[in-house]
Amino acid sequence: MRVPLEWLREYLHSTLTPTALGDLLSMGGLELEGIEPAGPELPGVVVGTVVQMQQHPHADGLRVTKVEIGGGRQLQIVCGAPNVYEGQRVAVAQPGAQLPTKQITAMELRGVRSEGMLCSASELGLDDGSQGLLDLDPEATPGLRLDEYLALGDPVLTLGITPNRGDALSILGVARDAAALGAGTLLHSQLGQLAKQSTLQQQVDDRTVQIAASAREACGFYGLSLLEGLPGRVPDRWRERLRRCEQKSISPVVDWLNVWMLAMGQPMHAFDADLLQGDIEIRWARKGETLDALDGRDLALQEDMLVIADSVGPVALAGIMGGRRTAVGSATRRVLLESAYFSPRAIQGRARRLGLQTEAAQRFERGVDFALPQPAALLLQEKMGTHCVATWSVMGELPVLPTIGLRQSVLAKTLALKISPALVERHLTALGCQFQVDGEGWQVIPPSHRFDLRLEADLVEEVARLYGFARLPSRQPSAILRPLQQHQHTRRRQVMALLVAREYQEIISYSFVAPELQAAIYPDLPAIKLQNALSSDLSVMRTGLWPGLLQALQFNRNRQQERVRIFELGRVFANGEQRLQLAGLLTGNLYQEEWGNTKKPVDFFDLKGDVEALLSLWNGDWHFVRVNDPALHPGQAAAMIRAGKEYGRLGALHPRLAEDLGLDAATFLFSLDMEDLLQETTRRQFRPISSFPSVQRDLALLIPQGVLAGDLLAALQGVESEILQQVEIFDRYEGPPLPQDRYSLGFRFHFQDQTGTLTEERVQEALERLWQRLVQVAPIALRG
Amino acid sequence: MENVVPLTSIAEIAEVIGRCQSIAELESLRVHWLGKKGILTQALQGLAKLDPEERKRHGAQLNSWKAQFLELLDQRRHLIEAALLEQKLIRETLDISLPGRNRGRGSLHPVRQTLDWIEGYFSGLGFEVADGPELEDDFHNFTALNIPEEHPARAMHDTFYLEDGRVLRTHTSPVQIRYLESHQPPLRMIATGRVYRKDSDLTHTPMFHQVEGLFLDENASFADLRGLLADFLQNFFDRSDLQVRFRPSYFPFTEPSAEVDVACVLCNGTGCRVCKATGWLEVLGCGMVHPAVLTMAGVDQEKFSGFAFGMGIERLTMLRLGIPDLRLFFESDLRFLRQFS
Repeated sequence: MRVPLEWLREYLHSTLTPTALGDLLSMGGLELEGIEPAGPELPGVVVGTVVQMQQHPHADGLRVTKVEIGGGRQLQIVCGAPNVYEGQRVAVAQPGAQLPTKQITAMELRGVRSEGMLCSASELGLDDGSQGLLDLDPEATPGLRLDEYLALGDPVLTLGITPNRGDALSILGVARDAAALGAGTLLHSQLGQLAKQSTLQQQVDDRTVQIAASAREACGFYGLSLLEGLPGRVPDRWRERLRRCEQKSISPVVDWLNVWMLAMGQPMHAFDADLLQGDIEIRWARKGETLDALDGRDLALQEDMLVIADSVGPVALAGIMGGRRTAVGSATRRVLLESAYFSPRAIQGRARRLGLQTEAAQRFERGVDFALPQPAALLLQEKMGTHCVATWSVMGELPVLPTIGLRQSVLAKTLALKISPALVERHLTALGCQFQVDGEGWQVIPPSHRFDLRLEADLVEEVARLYGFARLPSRQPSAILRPLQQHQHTRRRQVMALLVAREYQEIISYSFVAPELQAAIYPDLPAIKLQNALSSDLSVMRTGLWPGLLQALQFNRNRQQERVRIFELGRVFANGEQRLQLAGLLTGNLYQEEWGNTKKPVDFFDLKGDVEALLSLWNGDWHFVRVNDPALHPGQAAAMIRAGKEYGRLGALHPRLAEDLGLDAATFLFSLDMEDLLQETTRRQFRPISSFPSVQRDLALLIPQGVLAGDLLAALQGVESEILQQVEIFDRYEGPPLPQDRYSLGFRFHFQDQTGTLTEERVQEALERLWQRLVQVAPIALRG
Repeated sequence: MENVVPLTSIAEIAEVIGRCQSIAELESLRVHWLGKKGILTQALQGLAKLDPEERKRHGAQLNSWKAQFLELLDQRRHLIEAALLEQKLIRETLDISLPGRNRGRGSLHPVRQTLDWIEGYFSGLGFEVADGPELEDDFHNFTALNIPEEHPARAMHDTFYLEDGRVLRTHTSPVQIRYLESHQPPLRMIATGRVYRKDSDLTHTPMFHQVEGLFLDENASFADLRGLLADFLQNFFDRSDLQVRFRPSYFPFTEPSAEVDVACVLCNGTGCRVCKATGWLEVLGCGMVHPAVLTMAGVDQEKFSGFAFGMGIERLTMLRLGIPDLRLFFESDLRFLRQFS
């Protein structure tokens, strides 16, 4: 909401500086977003009168004018604007004048000397949508500086008005609140007079106006005035106010309506009286009806949309927008001026549904003072100087103002402050509330312009607001101490700390991704589509985290980052669930490339080591099982299984996908479902440490290709032995001199007893049983 | 080794020992004198043949020589060892200015670091960290928060819709509602996470993070809200004298509502580009929980009252770390992310 200060002062007497006023409004809930002068300084631009006008001798489109700029001085200026006429008051940029976009000099134009320029509004940085020369009031004094004439140095405040404060969407409304906040005195003598004036009941037209029975609540009041003697122009002062409020100039009648809406907050509409057909009804739209809206579109109306209709059909969408068929145009001689009350519930949401955003809808949706339509219409007629020849006033059901209880105890408890009753009452009065003392508080009736005051809490806020938020007390809250069960957060931090220590960098990527990429990675998981995506690249919810990681990799590879380790923790959306997933990506060299490090690209087992370190945070035996995953290399892919349940996958990115994504280095990925794991607690149990020496034995085995090391380890773990503490694989070899269909593994067994020093026989006996178990798995030989 | 001359005084041996340059030389000297066939060993063995008088005199002499010899030997050994160690240490001296190996580590995303900090602050005050779905139904995201359909306040949120009518939650406030479905006051909770708005430009991304807080207790007042949030902000920006102001504002689910500004942390309130010359930065929204929300949650409003607050994490992170462009957070540029390790 733009508020020209000079306009505000018409309703508010205040001695505050613009900045102080802005601060006061901000701290009162009408947030100051900026203060700026109404227009640029225009040195060298003055008001002039076109005293003579002749055709340019060498150019059809140009005229040569003589312009008087006061003090008897005249300039000869060549002008191309079609709307120039003799006697016109114009803005003259003299040679040397500085316009926002150019410097003016005297020059020859097609052989005729031109001493300056006659300006349009946009050339002056005063764009209001008008075409041709800025056409000033005939009373404007030649020779006066234009920026002084239009008072362009005057400040304009920009206020952010929250959706509950429809009452502040007008100059009057802002003045009213500023006065309540203590900025000064509200000057609304004009309004007082009008309330007393009786409405004309002279009816010279045989038209009838009625509100449909079903629409009486939606339209509480509907007034029409038949006006003749329409205004020819909007005076400079008013047109300038419109511009300062960023309203385009359209036509004198429409401009006046807009001026008045901005001044008082009452949106009004004008129909061409001679284009309206027959009787008028305010009713709900009928199925299939359309409106030829003023914005040039034909709107398909819905049955919960309120319309103004004549005998042909809808002529306006009530409180939102008029129609083209009955629009005011240059041929209009008489208008029917509508000034009505539409209830917010009848208007809310409709404009948005139709893709419209209008000043009228913005106000009616939030609530327009239902006492305003008649005075506003009368005042406007006076301003326009029109002649009213007939009026119609029809009543529907006006809202009933609520009576709200306000207790001192609630006020004191909510604000932790005791405010004296006299001060509360002063604030209520300043807001325009009526009240009666009632027990330990008040019964309060809010003014008709405050649609947001319905509950006790609303009044508490109003009292606090007028008292001043800055003056309210502040203290540390007190509450009962209570321990928290927050292990999932501890767990989450533990997981992240582990990955960070292993050089992984956390990323956060969007939860929506490109459907093509996702389908290539997770072809079997249907994705949830957004109904109104920002772009097709962000149009489906991710079913896993790999697309985001791969895109991050692409981004970084394109920026010369070769060694990448990244992870993300976030929700994924698949199978009707929203589960928390952890995923990581690894590519590039194992070590940072620098002195003393070997240069070795990462492989599957580097990733697996990271994953195993991660899984060791939880209890249980984790198994890695070969798996077919469309995104992974079929020979380098595994599922992580615990107690028969799959928790995640890891492996090398499928070479075909890698090629499609333009990734030339081997890339490894893992993902792990964290939804349940984060909830799990781990409590480790103590195991006694033997005080007797341990014995180590190595076996080098020759194993048929195709037999997995994991199968052998699993088999060994199944052997019951009191003294076997640990088995590890310390070596793996294939190639000459071994036969092609064999490879070798070195197993190292650690034996130890809790009760005594081991004898060679006991070790041999245990080894023998382990060996017997191994040869049951496959035809394995000892390597000689 | 030179010939051993018959011993006349210990000084002769001392001189030989003093010329030894290695442990091996010392050892062969020891064997020569004190080995099984060593000169002194044999002389000591020869004592048995002497008469008692002679034995006593020579014995004392020989034993004294033996003790002195061993002492000299030991001293020389220590000298040689010290010299050897000295050489070894010099040989082993490294260029300690070379960088260490594999010193890299990753880091958490700056947004995560802020979230962690905030969770830590409020957990420390006994706020439970709660969680809720990101694909949310209309009821929890809007209606239960006193934002009925068609209400102009809905236009404050540019909502992403799913085809089944659900929405991507536009704020973390629905977690309040879900938490109240399973908890009764007195309670303290915060919810953190991703939220979504259909908006993308210099200062908006379609996804960002929020933290939401809820405090319901028997005497919770607006003063408690002010005290808590002022302390939070002063700690967050690590300035105990940071000015904090509360401005009346509007949220459908709080009444009274306030927006909270801090004195611009970049220009200290003197006015700059970031605070648009106002000297203030808006950092969060808050208010007393709206009666309609409490009613829907079945909270006894005569007994309990409370407040809620919400803040955008990206903005707080940008202000705290001096990050100029919101979009950097979601590009996953390692050159950016690694700055915060």
